[in-house]
This record gives sequence, C-alpha cells and structure tokens, in this order.
Amino acid sequence: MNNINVVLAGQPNVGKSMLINAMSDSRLKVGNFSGVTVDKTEVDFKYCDEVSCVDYNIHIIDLPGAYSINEYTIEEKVTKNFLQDGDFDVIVNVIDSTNLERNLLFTMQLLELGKKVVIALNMSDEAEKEGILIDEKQLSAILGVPCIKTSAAKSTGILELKTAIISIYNKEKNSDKIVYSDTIEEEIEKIRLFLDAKKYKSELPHKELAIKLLQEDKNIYKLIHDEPIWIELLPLVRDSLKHIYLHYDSEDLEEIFEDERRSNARGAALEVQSSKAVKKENLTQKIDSILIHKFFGIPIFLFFMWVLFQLTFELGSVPMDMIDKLFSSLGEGAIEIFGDGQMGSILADGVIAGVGAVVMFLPNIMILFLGIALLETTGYMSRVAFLLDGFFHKFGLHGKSFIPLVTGFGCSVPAYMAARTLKNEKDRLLTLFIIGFMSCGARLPIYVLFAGAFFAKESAGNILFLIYISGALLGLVAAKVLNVVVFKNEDEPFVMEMPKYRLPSLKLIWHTVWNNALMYLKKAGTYILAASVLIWFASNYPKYPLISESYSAKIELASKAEKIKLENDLKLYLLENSYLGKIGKATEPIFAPLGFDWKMTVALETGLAAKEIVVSTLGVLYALGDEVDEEHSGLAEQIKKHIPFASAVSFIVFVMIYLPCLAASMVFAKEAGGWRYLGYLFIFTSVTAWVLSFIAYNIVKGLS
Amino acid sequence: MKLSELKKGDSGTIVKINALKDLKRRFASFGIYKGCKFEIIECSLGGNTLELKVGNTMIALRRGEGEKIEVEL
Repeated sequence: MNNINVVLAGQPNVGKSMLINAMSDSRLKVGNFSGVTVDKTEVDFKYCDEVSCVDYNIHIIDLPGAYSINEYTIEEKVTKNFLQDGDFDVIVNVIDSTNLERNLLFTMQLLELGKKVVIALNMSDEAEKEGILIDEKQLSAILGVPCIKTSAAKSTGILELKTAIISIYNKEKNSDKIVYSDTIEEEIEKIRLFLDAKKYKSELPHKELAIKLLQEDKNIYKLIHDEPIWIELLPLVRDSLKHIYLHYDSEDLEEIFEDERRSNARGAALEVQSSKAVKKENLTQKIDSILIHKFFGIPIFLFFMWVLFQLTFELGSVPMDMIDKLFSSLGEGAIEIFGDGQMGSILADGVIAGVGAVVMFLPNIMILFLGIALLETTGYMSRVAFLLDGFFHKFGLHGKSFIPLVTGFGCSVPAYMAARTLKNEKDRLLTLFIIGFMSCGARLPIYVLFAGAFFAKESAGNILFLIYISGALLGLVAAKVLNVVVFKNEDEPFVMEMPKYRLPSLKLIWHTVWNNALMYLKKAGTYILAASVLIWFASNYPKYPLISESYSAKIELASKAEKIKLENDLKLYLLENSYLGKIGKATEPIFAPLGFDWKMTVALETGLAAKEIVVSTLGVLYALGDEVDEEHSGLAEQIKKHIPFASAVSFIVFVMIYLPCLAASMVFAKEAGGWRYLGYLFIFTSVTAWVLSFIAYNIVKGLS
Repeated sequence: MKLSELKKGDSGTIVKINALKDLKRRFASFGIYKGCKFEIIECSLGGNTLELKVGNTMIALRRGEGEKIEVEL
C-alpha cells in the first residue's frame, strides 16, 4: 500500500472545497491548523490503479485560499508555511479556468518551490460557457507539469486528475520548466555551470540553487555561506546581480522576479487561451448593477437581512421551544426517579438544564449558518462588505461586521460564530468585542420589567427602543475607542475580490452548516455544561438542613397563602446564604456607588449564567416566589417600591453592557482564540458598565 | 490622476502605484500592477468604496487605497 499525501493549493473562489468533495465520498475531517483559527479540511480515500493493480491511500489536505505565496493574510501565512515545511508528496494547484492569467501568477510561485505539481483547470464547464477555450496540452508543454481540465460542479475530469496524481507521484523528479527572460537565464546558466564544474553537492538541483541565489533566498545563503565554495561563488553572484540590476534599471530583486512571473503567466495564458466569438453578456455585472446599486443596494441587503433574522429567530423558536419542553420534562423525570434530593437536583437543575442550554441554541446556529453559507458561496457576502464598509470603516470596523452585529440583537452565541466571516484578525476581534453591546433577546425581559415598573405603559415601548438604540450606538463608540487605544489604528488595506455569482452546491452548504453545529456542540458545549453545573453548585450550596427542616415543618401546618410565603422565605434564605449569595454580599460594596443593594448585586451575578435568570432571581429576592415573568405586575410593583428610580436606571445601563451569558462567553473565548480574551472582555465590559452606570446613577439622582 | 477621483464607467491604465511593498504585492496578486487596464464598475454611496474590473477579476477597494494608484484615462 502506497500512501500519497496531496495538498490542494489555489487562490480563493476557485472551487477547491467543491473539488475535494467531488474527489472523495469519504467524510471530510475539519479542524484547525495548529495555533490559528484557520479551517483545515482533510480527507482520506483509497484509489486502485487498474493498470498496475496497485492500491493507494490518498490523503488530501485543503490549504486555505491564497492569492499569492506572500504573508499577507493569516490564510496566506498558513499556506506558505505548509508549502515550505509541510510533509506532502504532490501539490494539486487548482485554477479557475475563467481567470487563467491571474491564477497562473500563483502557479509560477508554486513551481518555484520545486515540488511535484499537478494543475487542475477547474470550472472548465463555466469557461466553455463564457467562450474561453484552453488548450491544456499546450499549457502542460509550456509549464512542464500535467494539466487536467476538471469541473467540480459537474464531476468531470476527476478520474483523470487522480490518475495524474498517481503518475507524478511515481515519477522521480519534478519536470517543470520555467523559463525566465534571456538576461536572467544567462546569469542562471553562468552560476549553474560554475556549480557543475565544482561538482558541488546539494539537495537542490544546481539550476534551482542558482535561481535561489539570484533571488537572494535567505535560507540558501545561510546554508551555502559556511561552505568553501562561497569564496569563489560570491563574486560570481555579485557580478550576475549587477548585470540584472543594470538591465532592469532597478535593484529591487523581488519586483524583478515578480515582473518575470507576471510576464510568464501572461505569456502562457495568451498562448493557450482563445476566446470564441460568443461574447455573452456578463451575468455577474448585470446582477451587480442591481445588488450593489448606489441607492437600491442597501435597502435590498437590509431586506435579505430581515428575512435571515426572521428565519433564525422565528423559525428557530419552534424547535427551541420543543427542546426546552423536552429538557424540562426530562428534568422532571429525573426528579421523579431520583427524588428531589441532591441527586435529583444535580441531574435536573445542573446537568440536564446545562445540556438543555447547550442544545437550545442549535436551531438558531444551524439556520443562521445556512443563511451565511448561502451568502458566502453565492458571492453576495463580498457585496455586503462593499456596500457597508463606508459606514463601518468610520468606526474601525469592516463592512462584513454588520452581519454578526445584527445577529447579536437576537442572540450573542450565533453572533460570535458569525464573526468568522471576517478574515482579518483585527476586524474579527474588534467585532467580537462589541457584539455584546447589541442587546440580545434574553435581556429583553429585564428591560420590559423595569420599563413597565417605572414608566407609563404608553412610553414603555419608546424606552425599550431607546435602550436598544443607545446600546448599538455605544457599541460603535466602543469600537472606535478600542480601535484607537488597543489596536492603535493599524488599518489594514482593503483589497477584496468580488467573486462571480455562483449557484451554491447543496453538499458544500450542508457540510458547512453541519460542521459548525458539530464544532459548537463539541467545543462550546462541554464548557457550557461544566460551567452550568458549577453555577448550580454555587447557588445550591452550602445546604442548611436544620433550617430547611424547620421551614418544611411550618409549611406543612400553614394555610395555602402562608405556604407560598414560607416557601419563598426558605428560598430567599438559602439563596442569601449560598456561595452565590455570599459572593453577592461580599461584592456589594463594589456596586454600592451605582445604587445597587445586595439583592440587585446577586441578580446581576446570576445573570452571568443567563440573562433570563436575572428576572427570576429578582422574583425570589423580592419575595414573590420564582415563578415570575416580566409580565407579572406584582414583581413590577415590588421593584418600584424597593428600588429607587436612579438605581433602576443604573441597573439597566449595567445590564446593557456587562458580560453576556455563560454560553456566549464560552463561545466568545473559543472564537477569539483564547481564554485571555475572555478576561479582556470581562474587564472591558465590566469597567465600561460600571463607569457608565455610575454616571447614569448620579445624573438621574441629581435631576430628581 | 488618482483612481479614487474617477467615476462609474471610467476606464484607463494604471501608471504608478505609490504603496509599500506589502500592499504592492497584494495588488499584484490580484492583477493590479503598473501598466494594466481597468474599468470602474461601481462606486458606493458616499464614494467610500469602489469596484473595478481588471482582466477578468472584479476588485473592491477603499478610497484610501484608490488614492495610492495613479492612472491615466
């Protein structure tokens, strides 16, 4: 059995993922390249060569799309490093046949690596439709490597590609032949002859060594620098470089070789490509004339967003309710089986409630990612960035930041995950940091409760609107501040391809959605579960069996009305004396300047687990039993009676800004790329929340 | 004349790119280099981003990047 390691390399939007799907029916393994949040897709499959009857194990790694082998984006860095140091046998260079010249520029860089290369002229069906004819035999003759026409969408050329991989794998050496311009070739030849004459031993063939010397390749110089040959080689190379500088009237070697590659790419493209007269109307430009229209573009996009948003949270709420019901009945079942003692409680309120909280977000995440995958694979996402970048760039954000930010109004968990569409590290981090300012759905009950308690029914709606809008504006201001203070305005240039509009492949979309769902369950799910159990423990322990017993004795004797009061007194006592309650009391002095008493402090702290809990905690603490919701007028009255107006305003401000729920925090840490970021977020949101609440509290107090 | 000063529908040739090495390379890998022909396909509202066509590729740029590219019609 022969194992062949293959890497797929190519520019973005050339259909690499589709090709890997077309090459194998095996399940794709998706992970990350070590240390970075760049997706790594791998697949293993068997291939039997019918002629020689040899079995092969083919392992393919899909490298991130790169416009060139420079280190411009993280993706390009990963690709470059892997191509230089990775362990593989064959590179399959995937090319978009409709954009030959630009793709060949990348090919020229690949060929210089001196590895075995096969070229897949992908999207050949599309090229034919556009009237572009490519003579792949001629191209193969020019470049000296096999070129195969493929179409991942139509599954053509796949077998030929596999055969080509096998045959180049079995060949001894790479046979590519890049020819530079006469001046450079002359100098290469001079150095090569010298190396030959000296019978210099090196791993690289002498010609390639000569090229690397002329390109001033650092690694080669380091290697050869300590060899005796260096003394004679040095003047030779110096002379050659002088000739080249003179001829090109430039001393920028990189630019000189860049020009060489470009003219090679253009030459090859011109020679093998012919256009049929069928000059079809450019469909992409036609669609673009509507979708990125100066005036219609943004309204059309907003409409799409509205649909996606509605689907995510309206359609998603149906399975969410079912999941919620399922898990609460499971919890009840657990209590029935294990009794409402410790075992039942940890199962029902700890484990099952925790798992439920994890699974609950799954429908949201899957629908949202379906939408995002559609936006991305059709090519519309780049248009979104184009349309909105002007506005968002003013705050140091990117046009694509819009989608995660808007999603944040529904739920922060999918919003953090949606930030993956931002490819630039700084843009992504900045967006992640301000998503929390977009008040999520779970904070709504708190706002409704307080708005209802302190404002007339007619104006409560306006107050809610004000809360949401000021949250979003605060977020933009925060982005600007972070951008100036933390990211030091290091503005990365914005050069982005607007890919052709394409129909998405269902298989690929399903693959994306499914993988995101799985990753969420695996990575975030485990942490959310663990933390839920921890919070359950903090709010249920230590136990006070004596007091509980004396209460239950009283409850049994009491009348119905008193019963509820007594039960609540017990809950209040237990919560007040639980670890969580103790923490609340201990931290009360921190919140005293904001006008919070210990009850509000505890409510806020339970809100770290989930914002929905804030209302029910307030219910327990203000003596109403925990079966309350925001529409319960009793709680609103109690709150109005016990909480001064200024404290209430400051409480709302704090809720608007402070750390999102536990599930979201876990997802944030994962998406940002480390726990320390969660630390930064905690400090950033807490300090901002405290300061703004303090200001709000004192202004309102001063006014009234 | 700078690329950022052009309107939708204008076309011409790039004469000079005043950018640092990294950005220049980035431009080059998209097919934007000295001597290449281009056409402006669309400008966004407010003129903060523009879309140009180079060869068979459509590329979006910010105004800031457009200012670094000298062109002639």
